[in-house]
Amino acid sequence: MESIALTEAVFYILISVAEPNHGYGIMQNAEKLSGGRVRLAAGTLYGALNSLVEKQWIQALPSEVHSRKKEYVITELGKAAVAAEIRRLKELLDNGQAVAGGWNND
Amino acid sequence: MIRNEFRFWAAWDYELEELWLNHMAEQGWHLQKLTMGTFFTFEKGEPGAYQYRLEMLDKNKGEQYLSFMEEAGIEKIGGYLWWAYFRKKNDGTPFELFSDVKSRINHLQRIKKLMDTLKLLLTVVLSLDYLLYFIDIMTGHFHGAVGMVTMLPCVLICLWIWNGSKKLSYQIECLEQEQMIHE
Repeated sequence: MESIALTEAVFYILISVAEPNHGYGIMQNAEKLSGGRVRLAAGTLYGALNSLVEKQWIQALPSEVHSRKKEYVITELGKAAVAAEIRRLKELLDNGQAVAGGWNND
Repeated sequence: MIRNEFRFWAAWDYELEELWLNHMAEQGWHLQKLTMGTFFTFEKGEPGAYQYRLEMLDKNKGEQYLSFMEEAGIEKIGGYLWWAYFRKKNDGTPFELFSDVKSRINHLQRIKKLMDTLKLLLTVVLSLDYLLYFIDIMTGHFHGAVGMVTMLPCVLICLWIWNGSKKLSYQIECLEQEQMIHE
């Protein structure tokens, strides 16, 4: 598994499609989970979704007849990527706190 | 109430164009129609009702992208060549098309690639042209000299595009520097 850091956008997209979700739903979820901090812009999101489909980390679900909204869901590869990222983040967190824990909090 | 404006914006100055459109919108003039990329038709409405953004699309961003945009409440009110003029109802939050450095770089590189192709084409054609004019003069025909003068505006346009491409390079470089620290 690669150990290259995922962008915040990709990370939040992946966890937002644990259950099938569409573009706008992904945007809203990322904003909600991050307390308004992560706001996925449409252009960025569209590009990221296409890249993730290409990487097979997510898959596009066939759209229903009356719905123009395309839905996406995470794949096994995508789940593995999220797990690896969580491990990486935990490493950063543990190392950071070990050092910064000794600093005075203002 | 309708208002028409005539403006010529270079591709590399699209962010200035966005500033202008958003400034107009803040005053209640909302871009409604675009003709030939230079005639802007504005409609009077509530100040700040809409926010505008421009994007140069590519082959990957077709109908699917536009319906994706519509889902997010973003409508394309017009376009010119590869450019799309998007607007969104102001909900109090800033309207951006790109939220990370990487996608901003990609957009600028897309524009730069087109400018570079144009720049190369023009340079090659003009060089051949001037070579022929030069040969003309050397073989005693002086209409080559006339040609050299009448083609000067084209040379200036070519230089202008070279300069524009450089501006884009500089912007991309700045963003790449930022990428070292932030997403």
